Amino acid sequence: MSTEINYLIPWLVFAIPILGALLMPIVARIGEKIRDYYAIFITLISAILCASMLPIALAGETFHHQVMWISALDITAGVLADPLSILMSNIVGWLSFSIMVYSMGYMKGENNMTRYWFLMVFFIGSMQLIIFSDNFLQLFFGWEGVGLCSYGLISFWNKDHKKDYVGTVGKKAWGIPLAYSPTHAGSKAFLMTRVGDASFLIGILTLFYFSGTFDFMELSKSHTWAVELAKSGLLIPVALFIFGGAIGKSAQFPLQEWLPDAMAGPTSVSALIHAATMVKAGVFLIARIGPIFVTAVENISLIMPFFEFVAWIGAITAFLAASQAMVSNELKKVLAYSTVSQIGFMMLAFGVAGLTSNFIVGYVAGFFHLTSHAIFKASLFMGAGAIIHQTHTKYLNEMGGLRKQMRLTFIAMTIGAASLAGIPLLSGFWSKDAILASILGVESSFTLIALYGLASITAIMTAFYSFRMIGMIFFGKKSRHLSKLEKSSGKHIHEAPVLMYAPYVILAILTLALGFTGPIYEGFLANSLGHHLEYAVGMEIHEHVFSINLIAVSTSILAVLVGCGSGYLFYINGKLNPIETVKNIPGLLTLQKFFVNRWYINSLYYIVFINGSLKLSQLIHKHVEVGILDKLNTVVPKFSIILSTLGGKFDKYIVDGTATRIANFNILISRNVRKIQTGITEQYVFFFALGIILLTLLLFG
Amino acid sequence: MIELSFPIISVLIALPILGASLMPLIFKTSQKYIVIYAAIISFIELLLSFYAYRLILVNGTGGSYNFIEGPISIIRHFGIDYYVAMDGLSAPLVIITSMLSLLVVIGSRDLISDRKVLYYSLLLLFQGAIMGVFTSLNMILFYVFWDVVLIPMFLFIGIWGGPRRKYAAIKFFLFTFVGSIFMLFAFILIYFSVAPNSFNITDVAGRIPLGLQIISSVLFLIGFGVKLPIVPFHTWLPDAHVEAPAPISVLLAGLLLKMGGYGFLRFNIGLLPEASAQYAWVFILIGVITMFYGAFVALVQTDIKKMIALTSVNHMGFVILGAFTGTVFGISGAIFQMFTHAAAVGLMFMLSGYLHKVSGTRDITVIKGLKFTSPRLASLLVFGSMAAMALPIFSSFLSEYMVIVGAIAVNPIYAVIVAIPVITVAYFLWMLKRVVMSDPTTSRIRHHDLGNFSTLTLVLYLIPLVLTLVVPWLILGVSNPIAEVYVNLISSGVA
Repeated sequence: MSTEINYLIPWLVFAIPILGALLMPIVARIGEKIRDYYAIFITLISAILCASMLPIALAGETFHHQVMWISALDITAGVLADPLSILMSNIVGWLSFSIMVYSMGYMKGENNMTRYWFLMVFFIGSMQLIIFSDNFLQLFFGWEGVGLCSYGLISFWNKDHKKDYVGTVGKKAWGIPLAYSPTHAGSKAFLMTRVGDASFLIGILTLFYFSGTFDFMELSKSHTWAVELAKSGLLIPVALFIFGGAIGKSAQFPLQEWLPDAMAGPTSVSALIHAATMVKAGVFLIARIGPIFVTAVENISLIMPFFEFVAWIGAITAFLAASQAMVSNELKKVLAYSTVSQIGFMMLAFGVAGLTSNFIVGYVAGFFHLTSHAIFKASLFMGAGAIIHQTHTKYLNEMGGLRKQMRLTFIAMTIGAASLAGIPLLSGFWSKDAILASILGVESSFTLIALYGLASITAIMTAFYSFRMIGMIFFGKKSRHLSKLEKSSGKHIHEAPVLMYAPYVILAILTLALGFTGPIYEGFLANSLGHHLEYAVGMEIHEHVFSINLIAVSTSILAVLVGCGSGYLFYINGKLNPIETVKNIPGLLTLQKFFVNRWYINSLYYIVFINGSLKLSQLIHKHVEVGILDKLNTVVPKFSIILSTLGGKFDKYIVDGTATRIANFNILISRNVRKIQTGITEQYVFFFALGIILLTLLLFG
Repeated sequence: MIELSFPIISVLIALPILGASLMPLIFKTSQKYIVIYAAIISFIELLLSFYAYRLILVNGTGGSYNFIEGPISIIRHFGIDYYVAMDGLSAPLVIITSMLSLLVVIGSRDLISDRKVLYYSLLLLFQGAIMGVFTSLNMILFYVFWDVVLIPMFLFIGIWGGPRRKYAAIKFFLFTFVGSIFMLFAFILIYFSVAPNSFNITDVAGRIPLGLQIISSVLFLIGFGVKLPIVPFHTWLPDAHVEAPAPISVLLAGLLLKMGGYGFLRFNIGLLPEASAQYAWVFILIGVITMFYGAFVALVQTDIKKMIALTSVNHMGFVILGAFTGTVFGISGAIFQMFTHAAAVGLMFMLSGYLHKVSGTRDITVIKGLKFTSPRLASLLVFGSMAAMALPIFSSFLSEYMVIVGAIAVNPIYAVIVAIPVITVAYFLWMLKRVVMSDPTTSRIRHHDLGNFSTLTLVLYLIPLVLTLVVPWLILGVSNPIAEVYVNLISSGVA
């Protein structure tokens, strides 16, 4: 067969980065240059290995290889290379490679680069581990691995200098500060995703209890577990608990609050982990388990509530985050909110897949959007990094008028933003259109209208904030900050070095390419993913032919016209003044404040969970631990005194004369301890040990 | 069942005690080589334990008693026999005892400087006694070893402890001693309930009437519960830990607490299966409360040692929970958890000792930027915390989640305990954020870093944790057979 591959390849895709990362400290001893090239080289090898598996994906085939892991519990480890994982691994592998190259330029001159490379490479390995795992347990190892690296990289500048803070220092909402230090942001990210992970674990452990396996293939082969689960009413809860993991990792509502603050990390990290790869892990998980659940139940209506929930979470998150992206003044935060929002779109698509008669439509739409978003968002982030690097500010209102000075960046970012906005014939247009079209297949009319409405409004907001961002960076007058900067350094702001712009320019070109070939790529996805779902997973798939859905197309074009139009008038053309407009129209100011303060969700979480549990903890400590239990302590000495008085021959060591002074614990203590310090203890121990030995000798003698 | 031509268990018990008693004679004048002497004895112990462990593992005889010695009658009329053996429950504890004892002997080199002869002889005495606890098959013999363990521990805290050592030592002694009286009482009741009267576990197993099983369960709950500890009997633990020197905290949390877990498994599950099956929910509930309580109280501690001590309360809750789930996952997970917790918490306590040494304080709010001033110590602190947080790069992950699977098997509602690792993560991250990271310039304290040798000894704690993650069979191959035996006992108790 032509698609035969060596069974080691999928193993190596993640083993090479993971082991390579462990060697990083040793390689770093040889030399800094060698260490940098070594890190990039490892990433490249891993990416090439991913590419070498593409023929399998093209043929829609599946490669599965297992070894025994926990023999006592009959748990195996293995790799599953199917179209889904191979396509995903290629996206991850090649984007990682381009971002690693970019890092060389962006992180130039930073200290602690060994730690940086270690975490980045280890991250890539863990991410590939998630992708190629053939079971939940192994996947969870990668899942925690990426979380750990994310934590380490967000808190990379761990001296917590004020300049590294994310958010505007001093601003508060409900008394909760809205600016966080890198280590705070890192802990926040780790803890919030950990909540999702806990839910994920509940899900997979319960599933394991009912099915006796973590293995995806076995789960889709045997259906008895689903029957058992459904019988005890746990089928939907288990699916939702597993989805909880995806909510945490992919920063979906209600666990979306960590991602904007994760922007405290270096921009290269934001591009790799918090835009292109890790946050897609949740989406990938749903893509992985969705078909399993569908095939496991006898009647799809049994599992429909799960998909409906996924779709709603996706739609709500998309809307929520887009509204905040419209008002954010920090460049990276706009992109972060936009990422959350776009992932919401993907979730929406995968949820919708289970609500329609043909699963593949939403499935392909979701994966298509994942691909196009990963590419243009990585490009946008790297461009943003270059701008922040050159202008020494992260605030949009301190930029402006940069289009001539950073021409390449301007073009690349405009392509990315236009694709994000969904301008026709760019990759984002096709994929968003596919999602809208897939929603139209939903059978329940209420759900259809509500989801379609939310998605359309979000599409308008997306177009608006994309143009707002481009306008505020590249158009308008040069800000005071920039003039001052140019004056003080005596140099004009200029393009970033080639090592930095090459990656994002190439990705912008890819965005264009994917735009031109959008329908072809969609057809390819439908073919290979559909083939896989039909033959390997055992789903019923109707052939999905690419066609233009007129309602969806006209909606997205309308959304672009409204969103981009208003964005153009406010920020590029300058006909309308955004600040004046907000002031003049009643209610807008309140709404803006509401969005800026993150819908107060962030503050609510801090008040309830952080302050609340600290308060509870303090209360328990003060009133139960110290207040009750420590007081009860006197019961114990009293009890022992009573016992010894009664028996009269308990070890003198403990009670010694205290029987006459009942109940005074302190006296009891001081009296007895005086004995320890008289120096007779050495003798005591000596004789004690001797006694035991004599006894033993007697026994065996 | 494996038999050997030499009494390996007796050697494991007697060798350190013999070594301890010879110490005052050998090191009368010079104390130069005392650490090496103690380390050699501990090392021989480790080799012997490895040998015994390997035999049980390879032959898969964890489900039965191996290397049986006895019963040899000591006091005939009262049924007090010398009777020892090793099964799948004892073996992991024996091996971790040997490992930790050796590491503590080596680690004490840096941290203990006065009254060395007494200190090291007590260490060896402790090791011998605890070996006895984990291998005794006669209840009185068990009781004797159980209380002998208290003596060195009492002296450790009372002599080498911190400012409030007197209070802590007495409190520790009284609590655990009173607990053991309840246990002894249960033993005596059991002795009289069977005919012919016997203290040997093998004789009384399966012959205790249900009524007495229930009474004994309550008595054992107090006796072992104080040691484990369970809420509300845990208050001696934070005090003892805060005052004890770091190496002793390692023994205290790493080994002494395991006696409680061992007791629950050996006696409550092994001897009282019907009562344990009927009232499992009581124990599970206590376990869950203990876990939540420990986690919540740990959240606000500012003394790093107290925080770690309360983490132990939280983690040992998993042991009682797993034991009473009556599933292979739960019981085997509980044994595994005792093993991983010993290594992880051992490392954390040792680190707290070094932290105190280099920075002069253990206050979490005062120490800052350790990463910049003592990078090695800081990295180890991060790794130790990860092991305590049960992240899946160490086997503590496997053990905790095995217990959780076991609990879910009993009732899916117990899945709430998955929230425990979340709280644990919260306070460890908070500690790391404040101690390891932040800008060192804002702190007035100047630090030094660990030497090569100390770093090496500390890294050794992590090796079993990584090894048993990659090859979990190393523990489960021994603990699963005994877990299956217990599951059969319990399920026949339900029927």
